[in-house]
Amino acid sequence: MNHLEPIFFYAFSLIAVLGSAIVVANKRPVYGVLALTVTMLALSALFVLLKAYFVAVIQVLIYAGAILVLFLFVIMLLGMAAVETSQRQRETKKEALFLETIRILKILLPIAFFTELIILTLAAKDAGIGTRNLVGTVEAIGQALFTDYLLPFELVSGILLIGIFGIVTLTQKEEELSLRGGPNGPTK
Amino acid sequence: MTSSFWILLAPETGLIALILLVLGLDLFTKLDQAKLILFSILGLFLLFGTLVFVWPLRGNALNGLFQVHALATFLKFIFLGAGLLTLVITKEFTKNLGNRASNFILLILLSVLGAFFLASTNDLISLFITIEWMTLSLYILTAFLRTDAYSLEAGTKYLVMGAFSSAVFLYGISFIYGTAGSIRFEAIREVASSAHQSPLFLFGFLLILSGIGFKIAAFPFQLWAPDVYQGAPTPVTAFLSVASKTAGFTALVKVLFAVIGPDALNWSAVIAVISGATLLYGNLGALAQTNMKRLFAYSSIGHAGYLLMGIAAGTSFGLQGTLFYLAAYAISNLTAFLVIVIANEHLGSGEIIAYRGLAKKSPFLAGSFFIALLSLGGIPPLVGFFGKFLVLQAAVWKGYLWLALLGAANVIVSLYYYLSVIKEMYFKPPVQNAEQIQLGILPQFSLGFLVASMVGLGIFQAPLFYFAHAAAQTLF
Repeated sequence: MNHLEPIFFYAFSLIAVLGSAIVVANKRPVYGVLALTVTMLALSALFVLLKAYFVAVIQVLIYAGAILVLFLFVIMLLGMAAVETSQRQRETKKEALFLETIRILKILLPIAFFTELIILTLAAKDAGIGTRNLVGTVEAIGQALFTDYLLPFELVSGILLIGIFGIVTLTQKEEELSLRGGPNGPTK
Repeated sequence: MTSSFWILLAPETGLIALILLVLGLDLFTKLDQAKLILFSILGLFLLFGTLVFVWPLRGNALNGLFQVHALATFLKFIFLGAGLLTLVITKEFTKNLGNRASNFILLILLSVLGAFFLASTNDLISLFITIEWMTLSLYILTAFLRTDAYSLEAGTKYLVMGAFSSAVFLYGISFIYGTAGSIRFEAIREVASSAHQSPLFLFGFLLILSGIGFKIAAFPFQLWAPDVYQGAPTPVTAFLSVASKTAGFTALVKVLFAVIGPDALNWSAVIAVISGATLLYGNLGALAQTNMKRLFAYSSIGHAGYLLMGIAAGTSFGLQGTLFYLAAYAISNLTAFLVIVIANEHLGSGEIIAYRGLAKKSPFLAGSFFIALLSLGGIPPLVGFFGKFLVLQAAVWKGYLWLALLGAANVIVSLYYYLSVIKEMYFKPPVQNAEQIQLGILPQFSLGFLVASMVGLGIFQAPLFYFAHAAAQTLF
């Protein structure tokens, strides 16, 4: 098994990188979301190779299962036509040049970033970073969360509370809604 | 000395109880919003008692992830004071908040709670979560005035930039964890102080520094600050400029002194350069401003430069100077914002020109603003002067003479724009009608207290000086 591991690792890494490259390069949102799903699944396979089984399952359930489906729903509800025409209308001549530059940068920057990461990783290989025998089962994670890392775990609940507050606050009805401010109005 | 869990967590527990009480009062009684604010102010005031009680205690709770020491308690005093005064400022702003004022108070209280935990954290994950906790509530507060285009713009900008910087911060933590094998400060420090660090560790450290640089609006990451400060509701701007900045500096101090250690990695020179650039950007940018809140946004960037100067020294004395400066800046800036919120309500405009002849309309208001501006500018015998004096001295002792000279030159630049506000208030006639501004009892009392503490702490620095000394010693 051990000598097969690198093969799996490189195969899934390649799939993940290709998937994210398609997300960046692609113009059609639906294809983007589908490519992202592929990336997520490949990532979860990588987690399995790292023996982080719990994270792998969560990756499939939450990212691939819930969040990306949510993306698809948003695109469906907005309508593909609306997304694409608004994109086409924006492109006058000058803007097209600008967008083209950005598109090239979008490809080049990640490549530069990843090259740097690979160089760093190769350099770090000799520094002898310890390998640890951790197994990411549900039991191990539960144990860590409720004993050693109880404080951060509880603090996250505070963040969720703020999220709820935010939704209530930003959508709650007010007695009178009138547009204040604007370019000439007073800013409070 | 170790104390039990509940005694160490007394301030946090008290604040949680207060939040639940305010929430309950808001949901189940028909208490008027203004009374709810007064109730929260009273509650926060009583919480000072728990902090005084906790001050002599030292100890750990929750597996050593929650630490109580002099530095944590010192910072909690600043956070609590900032929260309290922000509520006083909110009281003057209530009519803009409509029936949602209670949400506003609760979000500020929650933000203070996050800051309390931040001051006591002892691992990178809790540090990240508590910073996110504070910033998340601030995103909502910034966009609170949903019908004001500026507020929404500020909220969106802050959210996008903040989310990006948080991602960078978290990415950095993942590198540190990957190389050091732990997220606890002591464990990482052992790796950092060893002779050979992996390049990935350094890369992670750099990413963490960039993430924190955004929170404190230091030089290459400061572009969001002016728009957000101008667009946010005034109490939120006050809270952002004091509590959020203190939170950023808490994280920076923890990362540099507790995680990396003052002597490892030679970070001092990097911070010194960032400090100099931040000073120049903030103070030169402030010269051209016509909007009061925007002016304060730039000036607060400038103050971040001075705060970084004390940290750049990398010594106990420098850290003490930074802590003293933080307290002095908090008092002076909150005084200024209390005046700004009252003046903006009466003048109907946030432009500096609208402050013309404020001295005739309300001598007390203008006088308090005068003292606050001089303290921010660093004029003796006010408390702001002594803060600047300490950080400059720390820089000179470290050997950064160029930085100290740059800081001294920037005092003059900052005086120019602070004094031009004073000129508008005192030496120009009022533009519109010169009717008197009537102040309520609460703002009168608060302004009186703040002015007294600015003058008092400027003349008798010893209490705050030794307080900051004890706090700085905990990390050395």
